[in-house]
Amino acid sequence: MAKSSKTDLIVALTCTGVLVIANAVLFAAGKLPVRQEGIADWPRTLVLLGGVVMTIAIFSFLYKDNPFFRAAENLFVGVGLGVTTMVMWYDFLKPDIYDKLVAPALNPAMQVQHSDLVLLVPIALGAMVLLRISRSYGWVSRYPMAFLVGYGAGFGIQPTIHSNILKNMQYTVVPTPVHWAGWAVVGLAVVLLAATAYFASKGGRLALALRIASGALALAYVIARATRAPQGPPVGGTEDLAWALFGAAAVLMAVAGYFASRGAKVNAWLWSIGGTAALIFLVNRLASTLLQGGTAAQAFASMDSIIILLGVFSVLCYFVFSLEHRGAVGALSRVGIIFLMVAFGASFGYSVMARESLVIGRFQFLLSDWLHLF
Amino acid sequence: MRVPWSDPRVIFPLVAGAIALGLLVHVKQPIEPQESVVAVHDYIQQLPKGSAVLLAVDFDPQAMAELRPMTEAIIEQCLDQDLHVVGMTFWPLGAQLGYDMFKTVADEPRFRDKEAGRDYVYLGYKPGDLSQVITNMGENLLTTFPQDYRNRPTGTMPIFRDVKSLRNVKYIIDLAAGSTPDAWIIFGGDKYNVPMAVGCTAISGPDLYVRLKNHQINGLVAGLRGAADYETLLQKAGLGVGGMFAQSLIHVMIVLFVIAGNVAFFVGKRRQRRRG
Amino acid sequence: MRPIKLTIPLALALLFGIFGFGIQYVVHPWAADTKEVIALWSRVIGGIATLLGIYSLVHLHMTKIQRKQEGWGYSLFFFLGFLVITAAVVYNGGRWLLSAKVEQSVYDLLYEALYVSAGATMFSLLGFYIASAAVRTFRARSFEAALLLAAAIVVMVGQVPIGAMISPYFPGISEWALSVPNMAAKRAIMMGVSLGAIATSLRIIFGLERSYLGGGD
Repeated sequence: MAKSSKTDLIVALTCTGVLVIANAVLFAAGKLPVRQEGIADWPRTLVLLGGVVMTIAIFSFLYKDNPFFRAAENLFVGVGLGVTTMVMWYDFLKPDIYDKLVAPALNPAMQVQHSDLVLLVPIALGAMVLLRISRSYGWVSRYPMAFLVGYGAGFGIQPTIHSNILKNMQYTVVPTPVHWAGWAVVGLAVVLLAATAYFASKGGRLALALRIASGALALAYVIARATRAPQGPPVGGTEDLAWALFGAAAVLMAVAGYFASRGAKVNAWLWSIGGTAALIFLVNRLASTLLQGGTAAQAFASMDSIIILLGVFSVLCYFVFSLEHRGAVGALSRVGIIFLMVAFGASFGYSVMARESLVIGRFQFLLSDWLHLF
Repeated sequence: MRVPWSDPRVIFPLVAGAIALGLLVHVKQPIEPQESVVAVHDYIQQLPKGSAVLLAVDFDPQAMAELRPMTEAIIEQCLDQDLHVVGMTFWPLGAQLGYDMFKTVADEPRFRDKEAGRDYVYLGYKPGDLSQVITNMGENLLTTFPQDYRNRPTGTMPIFRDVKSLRNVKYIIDLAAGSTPDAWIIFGGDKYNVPMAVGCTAISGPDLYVRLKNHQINGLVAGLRGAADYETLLQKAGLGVGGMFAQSLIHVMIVLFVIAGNVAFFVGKRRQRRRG
Repeated sequence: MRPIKLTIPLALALLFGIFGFGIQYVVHPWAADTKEVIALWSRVIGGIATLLGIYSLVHLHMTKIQRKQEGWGYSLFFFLGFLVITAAVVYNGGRWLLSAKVEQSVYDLLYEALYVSAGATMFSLLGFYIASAAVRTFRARSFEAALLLAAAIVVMVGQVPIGAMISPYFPGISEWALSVPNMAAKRAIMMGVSLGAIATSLRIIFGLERSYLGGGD
């Protein structure tokens, strides 16, 4: 027997043995479901054990693809199809067709309602759809499909325009009063971004420093925005961060200045990071000092509206592939990419959260419902 | 530069270990409910007694871990508030699960006076295009669901005395694992002017912020965190709250490994540049 | 044969498409009644069409067994699951198929034992793979990738309670990232996708898009 097959067999036998022993211990300890009288509740016990076996069989795929997993997978698909059949019968065919048309026809004491007779038309159309599996008569299914798909396509146009396009436009182009401090920050941002865009093509340390400064401004806004109180003065904590940043900036620039004075070729990073930290401090102080009281919320809301407008417009611009992404369109598309990256990052973070939640759910079942460890 | 934890044989047991540790060594963390979750809770709180709330339980066991805790919490709050809860689903494989959830909550001792057909009802599944079924419900709920999940006629049920269509429903909550919220919003909430909220898996959460900011839904309960927030508001220690420490642990572990991997990547790149 | 097989269905799609679009703007009670009737018909046709899916899956596995294709033995488990559940449904707690669904029947137990756990576990496997993929491949190779990484980290830490314990900034920045830049991008994507969906609907109505008709001439 090959070494890997031997290892797999040992793993399989070990896992099966552990499973059997664990269940025996749980049964002996009275941890498996019992009725109120103290008798073992075999239906519920079998349901629990069935669930445990299926869970472990499917988790075994993490080790490698194996017959237990394949069997459990196919069993799951078969059960799923059976469940679908059950639901189709009890939730659709029985109440909507059998009880309305067939049962009264078979039972002389019941009568078919005249209004229900019209159901024969969609039943006939449904039967025509089933002919799709036939090679010779499959074209018959095109008639009900044309009705379904054509009507559905036309029916959905107006609500889609209303809910997905007009509503979005309504809440994007929002007239919001912008506080004067907000205009100051916007003005600074526009000057900085224009300078960055202009010097970017020239390269060099200035271009790098401006790029970092632009990012720093964005970061400063996010930090100030994140720590504001909904109403009233900004929440404490920004002051500590701001002073810490100022201290860090002062140290970095002092170190850079010392080595520069000794004639050493000082890395532009030291200058840039020092300047960045100083800029963050300045913007933070501006935001905290000037945006007092309820105007803070208003100012931030108006800033956010401008950012949202810019974001929507730039992302739409990115997706217009019939225009070459050069010049102003290219610059706007680049801004759109930034928004898209933040959106995809957020989506990825939430995806990780979602998948890990599912694992947590399974472990809750195994550790609590089965093993009673908590 | 290859890092040791990037091997699946190392990362898989670490993930399992972190989650198991988080569940076994339960550390109570302060949970500050998010605004979007508080909005749903508060809206249900202010609904008058006897108001009809439609719960679309649009998920199956694959999303159960995230959505079941919030669904049961919402049903509990609605029954506590003496609201009339009408449940249904567009997911055939989740129809039985929806029924189980209603039964689990209704079987609690404090809801012994609640009666199926009078205080709550679970209608089950209906096939067909979402836009058509929701439109059908919007015009006439009883022709859409002539029987409930247990094949009892809905026409004679006291709960439907004043609820004939979606227009008579005071709140629609779609608990969704897929894209049903869009259909509910477009053909249900927006069309019939019924306030809506959505409970969703964390994957759909970022997308639904658009609907939240457009005021097409007045609240959003996303993922296990949303379920934990809701349970916190109800002062209930359910599966949502119970899973939060494990969730925190695993997130921090993944973030640390990603950061360490990036540091190793840049160090390796620098070494390569120095050699070359 | 072509008019019967193709032209008339396309003409029907055009007719019903225009009808479906136009009926939204008619306020007469007749329009509401007609929408209700058509919605009911659509449900019935759609429900019967679902039986096609059931048939195709059964046919697939049956063919696999008949032809003894690779892994045909596992298809026996498929039929085992299908037949056991179908038998439980037909038995219906002793009251058989034509009666109302019985509570707490064998079907309910089998659903919980075989389907719920397996379904939940199947998707939870992704939790391990996404963690592995993130750790192995998530590298800040460019500015855009670094931005994506930063946003993901902030959201991942900010959305769990430990984020607030590490730093009070995390939940706030995470919330801002979701409410502003993420929302702006998703809004633009939604508008673009909706415009595309409307364009596709118009193509279906005017007969330019025919994939829904199926193969053949």
